[in-house]
Amino acid sequence: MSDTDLEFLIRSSDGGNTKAREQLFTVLYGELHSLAQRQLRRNSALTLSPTTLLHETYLDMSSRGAGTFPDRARFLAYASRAMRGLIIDYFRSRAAQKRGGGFQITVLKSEVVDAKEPDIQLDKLSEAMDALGVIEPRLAQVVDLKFFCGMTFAEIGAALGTSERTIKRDWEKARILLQHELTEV
Amino acid sequence: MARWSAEKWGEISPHLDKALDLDSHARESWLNELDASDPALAQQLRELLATQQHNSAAEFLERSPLAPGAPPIAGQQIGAYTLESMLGSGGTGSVWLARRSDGHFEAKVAIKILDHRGLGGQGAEQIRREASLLARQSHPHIARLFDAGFGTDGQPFLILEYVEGQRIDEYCRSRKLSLPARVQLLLPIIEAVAHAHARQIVHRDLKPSNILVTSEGIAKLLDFGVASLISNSMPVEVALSQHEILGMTPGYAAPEQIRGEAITPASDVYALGILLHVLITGLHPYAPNFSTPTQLIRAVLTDDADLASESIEPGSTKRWVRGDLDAVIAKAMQRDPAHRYPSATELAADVRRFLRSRPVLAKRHTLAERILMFTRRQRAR
Repeated sequence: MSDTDLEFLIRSSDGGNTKAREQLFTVLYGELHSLAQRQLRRNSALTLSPTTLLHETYLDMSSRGAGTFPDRARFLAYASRAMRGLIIDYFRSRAAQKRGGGFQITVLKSEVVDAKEPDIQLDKLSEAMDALGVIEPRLAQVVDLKFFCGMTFAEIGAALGTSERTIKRDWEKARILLQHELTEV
Repeated sequence: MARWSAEKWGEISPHLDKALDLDSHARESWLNELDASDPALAQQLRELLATQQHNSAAEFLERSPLAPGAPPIAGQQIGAYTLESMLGSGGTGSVWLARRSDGHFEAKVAIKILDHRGLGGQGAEQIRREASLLARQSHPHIARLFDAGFGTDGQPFLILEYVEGQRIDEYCRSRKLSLPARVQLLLPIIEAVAHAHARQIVHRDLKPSNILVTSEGIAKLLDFGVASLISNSMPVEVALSQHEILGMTPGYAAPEQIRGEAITPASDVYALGILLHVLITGLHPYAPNFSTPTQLIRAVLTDDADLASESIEPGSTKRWVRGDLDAVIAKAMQRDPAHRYPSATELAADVRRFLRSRPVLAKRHTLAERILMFTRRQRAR
């Protein structure tokens, strides 16, 4: 993927082209995934947090070519969704391994060495997040940044150019909708 | 409950915003008004708000899926280090002996893992800033702070020089050190505190368990600035509970610290005065006045401590302490911080004067006070 292709994807996604947006997520997913693996190969003792991984990926992508993402906020907006995908896939693959699926994934390995099974079913949460993305995309983004990327309200506010107070309210609203989606039979 | 459509949500969302912005009292009266004008909307909002309450209580989605949520365990990686064994734990977290795991060189460090997850961005930034400030200070009698960082779930940790040694009070006791040797042992620690005071850094938590003596007989001060680093960067409510925890062992906290007032270099001077008293007499200066922590706090706030020499059996050591050293300790332990040595620098200077058998400034000062009190008594007649 050349930088012009990436720029085109970002422009089209910004313009509301859903196909371009999906493709952009795939690209970012690949970037996060390969950077995580590179880091782990270099230093198996490394502890990768989602925030660090996002940061490093951003630096890595911007150093490779100028004029990819206009700013860090726009990068986070797209990459946080890719991070959600990466984390959900990771837990899915672990579940598959447990069932004897033998699916191999090394991403975020050291990070989750002693992670417990998450309290909620990430499969179901993934569906609920998709539904939330349809109801109010912005709320899904706040959950991506907070829950999946581990950012603080202040950081999210800064990244999205809005107040911490608004983000907190969005977070409450997002959780209400997700809870409804999850408890529905 | 029905699945939400974007349209339906779009209609109720602004009302929910309004409800979420109100405090619980205002919200309730607003909903009651709404009952009259639009009961269906009021009912829907109540259901949504009930879900919100449930979410808060259940801490729904509060923990990152990647956060272990479990206390640190041996073998765990923290940055480039592997935790080996726990050295201790307390109200603020746990301290671990750790070793570099990249095998480049053998280095033992102590890692202090703080118990507070999900610090606000500001708190995290402050820890980073203050830690870099502390990391730059280097003194042979202060255990170094090498680095600070954040674990996967935002849990802050500090990487500190590992000091192998014995608590200073136990060291003095087990080696049966002479009184001059005890003061000599503590002097570099007072000077180390002075070094930090000159750089606007206050220790806040000076006590025997924070001073270790190595097998070479060198005293080292631990946790410099860590207490302030923690309480400055914690959200207020956490800082308060921290204070409560510190309040549980108030033996070395100055009156202003107990009262939650501003902590200054003079607060460290107070703790150093107590340390001198404890190392010389083997007793806490308020020991005769308390048997419970509450009584101790009351005594620290309202009573003058006994002079150090009063706790020593008559003899040459008592004579050595009586007079100048008594005055130095009493000045360091004044209840009003304005009457103490302003910082450890002046205390160190007076201790050095005492060890060189020169007149201490503290004695002259208390003499002047006595004359002043005497004249006041005369006038009051």
